[in-house]
Amino acid sequence: MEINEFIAHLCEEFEDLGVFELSPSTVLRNIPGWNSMHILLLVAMIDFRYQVLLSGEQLKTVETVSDLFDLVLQKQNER
Amino acid sequence: MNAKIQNTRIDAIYASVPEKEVLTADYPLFTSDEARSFTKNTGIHARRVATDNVTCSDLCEFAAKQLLLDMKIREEIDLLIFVSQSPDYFLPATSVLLQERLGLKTDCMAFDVNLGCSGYVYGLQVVGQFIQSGAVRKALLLVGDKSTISTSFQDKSTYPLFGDAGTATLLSFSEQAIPWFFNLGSDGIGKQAIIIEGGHSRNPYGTYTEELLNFSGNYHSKSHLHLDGLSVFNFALSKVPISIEQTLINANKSITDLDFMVLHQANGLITRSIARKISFPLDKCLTSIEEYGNTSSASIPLTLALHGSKLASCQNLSLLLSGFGVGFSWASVFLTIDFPKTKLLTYA
Repeated sequence: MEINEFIAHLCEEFEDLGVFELSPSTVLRNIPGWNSMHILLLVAMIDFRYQVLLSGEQLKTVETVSDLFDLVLQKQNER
Repeated sequence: MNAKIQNTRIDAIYASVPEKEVLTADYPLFTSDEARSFTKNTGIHARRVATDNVTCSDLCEFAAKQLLLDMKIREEIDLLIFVSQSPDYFLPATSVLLQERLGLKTDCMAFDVNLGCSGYVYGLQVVGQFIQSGAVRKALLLVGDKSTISTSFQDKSTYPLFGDAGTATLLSFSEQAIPWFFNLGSDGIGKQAIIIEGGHSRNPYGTYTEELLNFSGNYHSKSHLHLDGLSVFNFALSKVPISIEQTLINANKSITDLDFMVLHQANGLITRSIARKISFPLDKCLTSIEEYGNTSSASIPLTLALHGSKLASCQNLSLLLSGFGVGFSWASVFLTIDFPKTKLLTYA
């Protein structure tokens, strides 16, 4: 899994935010218009594309796009 | 658990919604961008809200009275089950009150089932058990909720989500009926995900204040509905696809055999995510959430009634219904049916 591909999938989900460019260092909650619905969108995308279902507890540790990517990788490796 | 029900037919499904329509765009706690994002992701454009003096049982009674009138079977009802989490009183059971209000014979069994979003499919299973045993020939399954009575205006996670509705389904014994296949489950580990903590035995009225508490910027008291959206979402994505798969295995069917699927109308994002996960075409998922919101236990029969005119002449229709939510509790059923008579009524 490549982070660029991961970011492209995130951007698709956040179309309504007008987000077309994210970087690994982007802090998710600082994206203008970010709300709890976007957490559900990213959880659904990650479940579908990477077969990892993230809980609220696991997401508490996530600040940036890079943190999220690392968490998904970690959960994939734990399987 | 898996179950099979035989000799049971759905004759009619009537639904009743309040006249008052509330638009998502008019919720004053949303900015216009938030309202647009909410509608895009949940699908909810509007919902129906019952006035203060109207209960869920009133909505169910309205639907049932019209159904009994149209079908001319008032004297033949042996069983009435009311599935709801918004009864009229702590006691007596609302089903017993409805027996009298509907003018049903006193030689009629009536009881309540306290379930939410999974309740309609559970109701079909329970009624089906009585009918296939031969003890009951005709039964009324009344299912609905007045969820808006328990949501806090200052809670964006619940207030704009829920609508009110009541439904009535008539079921009867039929030797020609094709068997129904169920998968049902429960997991109380999810109790905190959807809960009203105050007002019953664990936290009786008077033992807590009505202070609004802060949940990540959403405010509600212990008497209000608390909803942990992410926990519910994870539950739905993990359990519902498995339940659907198990139901189809029991029925010896595959996903491509389905004409339509009706998932509990929790929100549009959950419907889309489940459909995508099980590779089911979204245009075969019937919905009602756009104009009625999340109507809790009523959402599946309301959706069937809403699409009734389109499906009226369909015979041997392969349907999968799946309800899931508060508890956690979930239930799916595969039905092969001639589409029943339906009506969608407005309660004024």
